[in-house]
Amino acid sequence: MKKNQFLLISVAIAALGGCPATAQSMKLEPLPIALPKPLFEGTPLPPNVPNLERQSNKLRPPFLAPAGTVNVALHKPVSSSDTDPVIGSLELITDGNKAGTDGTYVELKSGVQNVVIDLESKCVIYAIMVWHFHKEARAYAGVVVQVADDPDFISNVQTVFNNDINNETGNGMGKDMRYVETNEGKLIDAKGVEGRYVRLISNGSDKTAANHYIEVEVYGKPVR
Amino acid sequence: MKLADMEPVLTRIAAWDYSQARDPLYEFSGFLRAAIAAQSELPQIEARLLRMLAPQAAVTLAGRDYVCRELSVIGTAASVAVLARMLTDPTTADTARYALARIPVPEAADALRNALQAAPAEVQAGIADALGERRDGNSVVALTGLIASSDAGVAIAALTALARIGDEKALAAIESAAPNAAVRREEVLRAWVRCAGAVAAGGDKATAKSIYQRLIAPNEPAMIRIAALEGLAAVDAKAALPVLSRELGSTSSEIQAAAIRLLNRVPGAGVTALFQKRYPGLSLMGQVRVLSALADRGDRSALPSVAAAVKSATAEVRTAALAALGKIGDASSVSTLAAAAANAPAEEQAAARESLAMLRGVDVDAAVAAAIASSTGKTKLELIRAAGERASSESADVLMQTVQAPEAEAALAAIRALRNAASPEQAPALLDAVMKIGDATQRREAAMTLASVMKRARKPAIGSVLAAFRSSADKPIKLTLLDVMGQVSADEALPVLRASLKDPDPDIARAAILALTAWQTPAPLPDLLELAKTESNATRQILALRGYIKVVSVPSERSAGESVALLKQVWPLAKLLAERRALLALLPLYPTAEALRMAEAAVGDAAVSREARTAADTIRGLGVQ
Repeated sequence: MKKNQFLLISVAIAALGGCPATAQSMKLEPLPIALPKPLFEGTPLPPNVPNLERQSNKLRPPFLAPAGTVNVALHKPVSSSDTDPVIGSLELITDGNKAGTDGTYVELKSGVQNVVIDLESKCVIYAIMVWHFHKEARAYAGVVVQVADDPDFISNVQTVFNNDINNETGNGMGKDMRYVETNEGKLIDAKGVEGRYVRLISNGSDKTAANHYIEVEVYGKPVR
Repeated sequence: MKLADMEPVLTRIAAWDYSQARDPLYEFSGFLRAAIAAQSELPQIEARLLRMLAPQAAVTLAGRDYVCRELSVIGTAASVAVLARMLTDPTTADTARYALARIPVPEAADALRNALQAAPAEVQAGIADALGERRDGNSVVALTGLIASSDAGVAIAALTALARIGDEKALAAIESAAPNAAVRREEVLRAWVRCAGAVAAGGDKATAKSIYQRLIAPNEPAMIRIAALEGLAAVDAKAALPVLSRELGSTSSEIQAAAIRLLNRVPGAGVTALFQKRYPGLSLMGQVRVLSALADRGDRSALPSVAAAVKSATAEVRTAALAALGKIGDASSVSTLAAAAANAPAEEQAAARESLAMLRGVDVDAAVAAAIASSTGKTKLELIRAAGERASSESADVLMQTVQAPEAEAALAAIRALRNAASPEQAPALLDAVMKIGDATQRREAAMTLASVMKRARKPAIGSVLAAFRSSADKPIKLTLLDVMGQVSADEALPVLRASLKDPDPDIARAAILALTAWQTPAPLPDLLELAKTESNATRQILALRGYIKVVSVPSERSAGESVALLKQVWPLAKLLAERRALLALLPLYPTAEALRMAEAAVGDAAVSREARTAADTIRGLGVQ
């Protein structure tokens, strides 16, 4: 049994009030993550940064989640610390277009910036997919992903990913690794956390101090 | 410093090996640079270095190599005998010939030439190369003899050296030796065409031209023909034109590409006309290349041909034509480009969009504005987008009208385009739009545009926003206007925001805190501090504290010490982990002893000890103790 299968079944047990028989019969399915075409031009040079995840030359294995899990962030409103993006608009982050070509991404100003997606209702979240920018081999810094119940991120704040090893973003030091952007995007196992707002923070990349988002997908289900 | 002072360094160089640090080499090179400037001690230095090259001298091969490189810079006739002796030993021949190739005395060339015949094959090629580098005309006979060498490396080195010498004799030697050469014919031709280039550079363009004309024959290898075409175009552009024109129709893609490239270097309407005349009969790739060439020429007389090519049946040609329109198109191209941007497949669409954004001409912006007014659907959207990318102030009025239009998609696109296209004079109209727009997304975008446009003014006219805020009873509009006040950060708005902090409606009070948080100057720090200390509502207290921390980090003229003092006074108010982490993240930005003390004191707080330790280490790393 894969790790995330085990976790998901555990989450399901918790969600169903500890009814093992029902939980064990919950059907798990691979998330329907569609990948955009690779965009690397020329030979990608690996970023020279600390705490960098080793790149795999294999496709990511399917991520299993309860049947019926969908991208609950699609076309949902996005706000940001940068209200006047350098390129593009915030709605591109949840428009379903992951191509990564010009016109499909938003560029936020330099330094620590964040985007907040309002799922418009509380959801149980199994995975979060992020595509920052996959036209070249970049590693973004200070990537922190949090889920909360309120737009101010005061209530029920849960950090599901943090590769800020120096607390540069002011969100605490994380233990996750930096990674190289590709068309595969980054899959973050959210382990069934619940919340309505998803916040993604970054602090530029090894290539530029600006911050970019092509698409963010949040795979989950509304909490009934 | 004197040479005698360098003896310890020379001793280290004598024992130096490639695997060791290069410090002694750097040290001696520095000394040598100063000696070259002073000149007086150079003979003694040369003599001292030559002693290091004596057969019995205890000097490593690496050390000898370094000495030879320095002799290549300061060497005179006095060095030649020692270096010539080294040519006979394959282990030192390369370093010796490196120096002999560069020492500017005829004795050095004599030494190389004398060693050429007797040297073993592995040394011969290097000596031939050195003679070529010296462009030693006296070596032509000796080098000619080596063209027939059974060792291909030696033969090619001899041909290359003759090509570099590049005089009449060398040219004749290459030509006459061609039938007997031991290497491929293409190697000989390469040397020949290169030699012609050297001959032309020497002033004999007529001889070079005759060679180029022989080498452009259809039966010669493509790369040789291309080099000859380039040479011919360089020595006699007029004579090259008919040849290049003929090669436009070449069946060889490489030669056709070279002909187009070389023709494109010739200025004037003649070549533009030639390209247009020959265009219909060209291959697909030829047409694409000619369209790119026409674009690079920037000659607008080609516009009709390029516009016609947009209707080609072939996608690659259409894409090239759309890209070319961006460089040579005018107002008449706007509708064509907008239609392609709206309806064409991805590559053509990208080319059309880029061209729409870069079209030049005094009447282009007016044409875009007129087309926005008269178009619909996707085409209108593309034109609006182009107006934004062009930052076209001429389109601002029509964009404002579109904002009020019923087509939601066009209205939103217009709002975004206005962010670049509008000037502060349009702020009242934008504010009016913000007040009237019913859709929340559009209103938010319009507010961002309004703030962005107002910020461009040296003194933003925030008064109209404040008046609208006071007179409006619509809560969503009031919230939006508070957001605008924060983005614009004009001090006149502060009293309104201070009053809003006390508004009984929690959403208004929250929006006022967020507006102060977005402030671009430290002005609201006292307000946020007061609220962080006194606010009874937990959420608003936290927001105020976060706002204060954020505004402290806004660039200001405060000293680092003053900034740390500001942070220190809110540390006791930071009850939650998030705010303590945020404070610790800021401390290294103000590396002072007090910041270090704050970080060190926080190490004892288990919840943030890692962050505190990191902050302290970073501050210490910046030299603070």
